[in-house]
Amino acid sequence: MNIKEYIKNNIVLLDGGMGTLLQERGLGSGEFPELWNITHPSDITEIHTEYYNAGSNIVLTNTFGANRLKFDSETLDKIICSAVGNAKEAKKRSQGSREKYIALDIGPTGKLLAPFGDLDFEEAVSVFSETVRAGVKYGVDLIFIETMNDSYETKAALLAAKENSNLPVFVTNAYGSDGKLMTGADPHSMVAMLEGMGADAIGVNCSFGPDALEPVVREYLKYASVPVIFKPNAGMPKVENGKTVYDVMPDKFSESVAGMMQMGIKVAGGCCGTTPEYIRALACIKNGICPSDNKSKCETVISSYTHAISFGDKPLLIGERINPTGKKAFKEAIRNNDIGYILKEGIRQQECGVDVLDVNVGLPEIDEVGFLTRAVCELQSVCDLPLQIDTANYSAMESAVRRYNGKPLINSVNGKEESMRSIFPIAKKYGGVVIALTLDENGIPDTSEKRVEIAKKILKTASEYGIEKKDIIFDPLALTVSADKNAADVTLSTVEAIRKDLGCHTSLGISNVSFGLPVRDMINATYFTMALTKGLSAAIMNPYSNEMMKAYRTYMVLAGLDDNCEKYIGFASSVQLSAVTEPVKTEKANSNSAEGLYDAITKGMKSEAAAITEQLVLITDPLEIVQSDIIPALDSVGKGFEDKKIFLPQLLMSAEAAKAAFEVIKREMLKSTDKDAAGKMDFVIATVRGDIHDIGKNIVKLLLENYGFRVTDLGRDVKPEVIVETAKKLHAPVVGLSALMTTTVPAMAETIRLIKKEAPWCKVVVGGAVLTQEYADSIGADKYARDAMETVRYAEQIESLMKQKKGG
Amino acid sequence: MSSIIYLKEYASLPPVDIGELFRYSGLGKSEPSYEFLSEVDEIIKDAEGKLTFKICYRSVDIDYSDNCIMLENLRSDSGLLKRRLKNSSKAIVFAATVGMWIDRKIIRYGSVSPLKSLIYEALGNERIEALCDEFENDMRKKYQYTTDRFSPGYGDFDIGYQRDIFRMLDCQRKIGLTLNESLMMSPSKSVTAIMGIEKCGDDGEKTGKCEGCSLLNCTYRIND
Repeated sequence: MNIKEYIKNNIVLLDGGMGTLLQERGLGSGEFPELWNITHPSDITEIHTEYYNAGSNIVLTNTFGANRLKFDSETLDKIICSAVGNAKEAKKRSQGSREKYIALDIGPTGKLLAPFGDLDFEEAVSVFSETVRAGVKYGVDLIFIETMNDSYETKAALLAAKENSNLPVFVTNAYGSDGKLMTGADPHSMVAMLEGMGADAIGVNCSFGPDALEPVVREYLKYASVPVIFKPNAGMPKVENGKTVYDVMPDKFSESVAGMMQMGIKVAGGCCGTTPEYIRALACIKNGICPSDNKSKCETVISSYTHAISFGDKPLLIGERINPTGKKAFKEAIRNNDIGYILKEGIRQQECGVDVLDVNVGLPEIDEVGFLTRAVCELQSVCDLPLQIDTANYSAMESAVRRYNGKPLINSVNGKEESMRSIFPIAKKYGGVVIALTLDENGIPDTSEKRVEIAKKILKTASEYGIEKKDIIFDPLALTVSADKNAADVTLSTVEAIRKDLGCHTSLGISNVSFGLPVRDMINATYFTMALTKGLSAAIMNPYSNEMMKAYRTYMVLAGLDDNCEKYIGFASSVQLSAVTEPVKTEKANSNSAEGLYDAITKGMKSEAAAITEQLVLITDPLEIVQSDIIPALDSVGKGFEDKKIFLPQLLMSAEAAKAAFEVIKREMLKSTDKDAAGKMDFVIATVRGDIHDIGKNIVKLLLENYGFRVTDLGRDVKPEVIVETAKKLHAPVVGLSALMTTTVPAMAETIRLIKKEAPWCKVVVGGAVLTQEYADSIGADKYARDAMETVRYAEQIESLMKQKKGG
Repeated sequence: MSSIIYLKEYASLPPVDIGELFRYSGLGKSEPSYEFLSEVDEIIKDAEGKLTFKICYRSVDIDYSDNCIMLENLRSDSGLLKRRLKNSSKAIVFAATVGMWIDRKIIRYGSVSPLKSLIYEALGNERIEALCDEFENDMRKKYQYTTDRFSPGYGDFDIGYQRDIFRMLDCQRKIGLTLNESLMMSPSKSVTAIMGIEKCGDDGEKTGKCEGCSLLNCTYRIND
């Protein structure tokens, strides 16, 4: 019987620990246990046999760390071949006629995935794929991914299992004492992602004893629709008489696990410190327990790499600002590959209180597949909100959803055959909740009934792809009320009908309704409130709009969804503050208030600098403000820093204040021209390959931008070729490189060599904690800069040399 | 010798030492401004309850052969390490981390506010050192005489020994700590180190934190 069949009516027993048993048989510290499959096959077979005899239905092959990052391909193949062979031999030798299976065990790679580590996501998928393919070749019955403490690596492993086999896949994660994975995910978000991707059973292993893990397992039982796995440690280790023992004994262990079986656990076993004795005790106690089936939870849920958000608890806000439509500065940023602009919009919307970020970077002239994927990854490195991936380009959609860490919103599908054929397979494979627009080949129907008909058609087709109703949200399309006076009403009736008659959730792009009308915010806000009263589940909206936020916050209070009116009160106080015309906040009364822009910048007062500039641009030419206030202030602070009268934090505070002023000025200038008029020299900056820290580089970048240089920031851990290519493309006169440790200086040297060869005009300035003048000389750098100001001065020097050349 | 790897997790640490935080942020001896102080306050508050204070450690025997000191598979001719462990026949090898949360914050503000990044960075440095200090104190209580901690990368003890320590401690599984190809740790606010267990106290050799480091012009250097 297939394990998926067997699990329906039975509690499945796993095996227990392997490591401790191998140590008892002589495995040395630092020795690879996986090699024992080849060197000590009889030991491994004996251990598996003992587990089968104790009552295990599934044994895990001794392949926890069997991957090509640790072993070369030939050895890897041998390890997996022997490991599966050992398990098969044990199955043959073991007693009893119960169902027995062999699972290919897959543990973490031991590396952390980018952006926090240096293992690329696709590389991780490929590493796991090789292991999976070997397991399939040698005949395992299922794949068991375990002890993962990073959601992203878990996704890579599960994807590899799904792409390279048709076997059932079980997945367990290792949680910390805070009830989260090391990289931040809570159980709810893991359930959302793993079920979305089609894992066959999910749960918890390692970390602690059964009692300490109980709260995490309860969360799984609360949210999961698939069978839940529980595989705890035998408590914590200690040494007694020179021997390692664990503090939870078999009888206590089995009692605790049995308690969880009664709660609904379908798969149980042991991790570190457990032995065949523990499994025997479990087998005994399990006989008295009737397996209860985990009910389907029908939850419409999305997740990020930290948390899940469920539709229906309260209406959700989806921030619409990451979208170039109608935004000059945004388009300019996309064309310049300026990802920082997008990140800033993400963070700012989060600070306004949105629950989800819509991400749309569609411009005809860019490589949308690459840029959207990059935007999604970079946003996920700075912001923990779930994302709604918004594109009409199917390849871009697949690429971004594949890389997304969690279960995203997919925006969107519609009733057209071609749309459903393209989007549903993506949603099925990677998981996701799909926004479905109620339109089809015949356009948008003008009655509510016909829109609901399209919704039904979409649901029917989705189910043919194996997508459940809970994973579809309908957008019944807000149309322009100035073009058709009934437009708003038809949409609202559709919202109500879909919620009540189909039992599905809805989402609406609010602002379409007000096209062509003056002061659109007022219409939008009232429409938003009307939709909310009809049961709208989510709105794509502008969180910077006071009117919209007012509508939302007041609705939440009146609908009883804001406990103690807490959110409303916080919001109300900010509204009052912004109503005060005086830019200096009262709470800062005891700080020196700024007398002018120069003063605000030298004192490092960011919001004051921006506020004063807002006033100044009304009466002064922007360039005049730069010349008479900002540049002198920056020079004064810069000089103070060079003279060691001012230190790094003050320098940064002033630099950020100047940047805030510049942002106002830039916006003003974009109003009159399409291009950023700064027009100073290009400067390419990057942290070299292998170096994953970039605070120093970011400081240098900030100052260079203040001095007007056009900085192209390539980020962290950048390959030499990418740096050289960019320098060539821009014909950049200077490249700045940063390295933090001695171990990354070779990558810096390699980058310099390549620049000198392929872009000989380009000067290279280097900096970073370990660098010295001698070091910089030895790797062929043109300049060693001790700090950010020195880099600025060097850039100025190069620029004036260039001008002289041009002049002469 | 047991090869058991112990885990220790602190629920909390002593409060943030603001002076240390200022030192790590490069403030020098200057007076912090009101604006700076309020940023620092906000960030300390933000971090409350978000950091994890985890350590995994083992005790290992110290051996010598061919002018090298050996702790299991770790074999080094570092003069400074030998000097630090000269009165010890056993050592504690440990890895400590305050977790991933602070790395996320440092990156989050990287392109928005490098000042905030800098403060999170400084806070992380202060907290990981505080965690190591706390652990050292506990070990000192347990073993009475222990040396100060000594880490790969100090003086002539090559950073490459990081790999050996990771192998000894199964850091990824125990505390979620990983090492990249360039020997950088993630989470970044982490420390690996060795401290000797001594039979009796040795008053002559207690030296400052920065002793032995070759970066003589380092901004953070303490000369005591």
